[in-house]
Amino acid sequence: MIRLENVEKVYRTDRIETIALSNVSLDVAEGEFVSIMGPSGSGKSTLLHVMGLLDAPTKGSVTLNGRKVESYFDAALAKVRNAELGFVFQTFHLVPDLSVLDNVEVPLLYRGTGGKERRKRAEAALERVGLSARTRHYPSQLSGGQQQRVAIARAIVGAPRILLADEPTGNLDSATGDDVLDLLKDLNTRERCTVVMVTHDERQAAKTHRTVRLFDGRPVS
Amino acid sequence: MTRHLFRLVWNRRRSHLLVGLEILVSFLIVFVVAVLSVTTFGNARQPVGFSVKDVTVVEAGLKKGMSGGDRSGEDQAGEDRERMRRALEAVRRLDGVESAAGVYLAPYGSGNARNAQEVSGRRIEYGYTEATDELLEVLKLQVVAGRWFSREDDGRPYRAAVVTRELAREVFGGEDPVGKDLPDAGGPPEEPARRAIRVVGVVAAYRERNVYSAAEPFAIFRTDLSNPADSAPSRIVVRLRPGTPRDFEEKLVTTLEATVGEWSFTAEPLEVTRDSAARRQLVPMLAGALVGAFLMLLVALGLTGVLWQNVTRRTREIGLRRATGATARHVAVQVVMEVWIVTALAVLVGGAVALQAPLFVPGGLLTAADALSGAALAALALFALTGLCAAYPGWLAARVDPSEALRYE
Repeated sequence: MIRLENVEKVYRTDRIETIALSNVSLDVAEGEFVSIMGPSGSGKSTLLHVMGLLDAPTKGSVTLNGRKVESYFDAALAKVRNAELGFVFQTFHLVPDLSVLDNVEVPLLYRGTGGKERRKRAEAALERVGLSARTRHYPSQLSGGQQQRVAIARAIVGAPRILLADEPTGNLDSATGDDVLDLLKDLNTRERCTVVMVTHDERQAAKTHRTVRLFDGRPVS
Repeated sequence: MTRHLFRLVWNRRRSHLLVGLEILVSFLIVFVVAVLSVTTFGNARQPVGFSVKDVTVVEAGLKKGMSGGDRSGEDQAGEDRERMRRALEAVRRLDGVESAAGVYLAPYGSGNARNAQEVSGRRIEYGYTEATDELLEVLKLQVVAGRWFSREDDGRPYRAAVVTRELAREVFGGEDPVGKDLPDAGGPPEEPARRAIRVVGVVAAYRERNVYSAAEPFAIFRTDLSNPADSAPSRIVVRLRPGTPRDFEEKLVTTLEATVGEWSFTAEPLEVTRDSAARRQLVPMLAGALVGAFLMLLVALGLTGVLWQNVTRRTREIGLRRATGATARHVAVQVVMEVWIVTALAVLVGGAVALQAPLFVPGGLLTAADALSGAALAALALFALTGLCAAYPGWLAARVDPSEALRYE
């Protein structure tokens, strides 16, 4: 499903060269739930961004569903992100001036889905995360856990095959974090959605199929 | 997408309020400039009602050091009429002159004469001049109803006049003005009763102020140099044979000064006078347009700054949109579209105000059609301006790296 081969990511400024990922090779199979762990600055988020085609590797190749994507231009990358990937972030990244329903609709806007169909699918996604009663609310009117559920609804509204979650429970208390993790697990189990999750929490990582550990940008066993 | 962006703009209406107000004020300024341009250049396309080609205007004035002496006003008026008659005869005899007429005020001159009358409770103002019968052929005026005044009007108890369509419409409405008298409020009671002014004909137009002015109500009163009741004209308009060189003016002036020694004369082609008048009209308008353009530049710079800041403030949102499938182009278009939605709202409010302008501009000088054209031009200008202002912040937003944008604090 996702294959990274000898991926290297180097950030260069005028004076400093920072190696964020070094020689990372990784395979994620369809339907897997993989967690990525490691100390701060170990390259977890960078790895997730490279997998999510938000960042291009300096070296190495990324293959998604059998297609090498390094030759893709902006429009093609955006299309893949829209159709095949769903993102969940630690800080939710909800647009504060849009209602819950409008926030969930965002990915469908870039797919050219009609207004009625968008609404229908956004409502279904919100029902799936247990927030169908909050469609008219604004993010500021919701708790952290509810906001993350909205973000998950937005990530799944386009029925992507891969969910990439960057510390989805990092801003939540443990009980709420467990609820969110259960939701991701449920999506993985019932909808065969491949999930890659960055986490600091060993307890949560233990609930996934496999854990990839990073240290200084390199995978460690 | 448009509906989504409209909702976004509407939900952010408080933060967009100042930008919207700025665009609204800009719209109104551009509207004023556009309306002036539309009416001015619209007027320039309208017929002036006479031909200026091969026409020269000669101004007559008393020579320096000469005075009327102690003769009565009537004696002096009689002498002036006689001098003008001699001057016209001398001009007509010159080889190269097709016709010549005496006129109180020539087109495009600096002076103007106006009458104001009450008609059915309405105040009607119109410009006028006085001329001898030959003005018709000198200026090639186009009579559209009735006739031009002529010797047929000699010895009549009225003063013959030809009016423009505008004056005929103002005074007589839909009625045929020919044969009717122009209303006259009359002079002070101690003065003898004035002659009636009888309309004998209507001319298509007589736009004598300048080529950019609107067609105004105007009358040309007949001057009969043998009638003691009429004053002598102080100008001569001369139609020259086509191709007559410019140095003919010198011959004209020399002949006139030899004929009427008490007067001095200056001559200038009517085309030159017209162009000077046009410049006098255009210069303040251009100055106004420059001030408007400068204000627009300030608005544009301010708007660009605000939009730039807005893009920076929304970096994380840009990152999120890129992550969910927006291309760089989508992001740039969104920045421009949002500004255009604010512009559309401001233009709607401004347009509603602007379209009321004809109600407040007196004399029907601004028609609803002109106001509509001005509003449409101003709207186009504002969409272009705000689009340009948003283009650079939009381009910057499109260049934002999605990965960095998502990490932006």
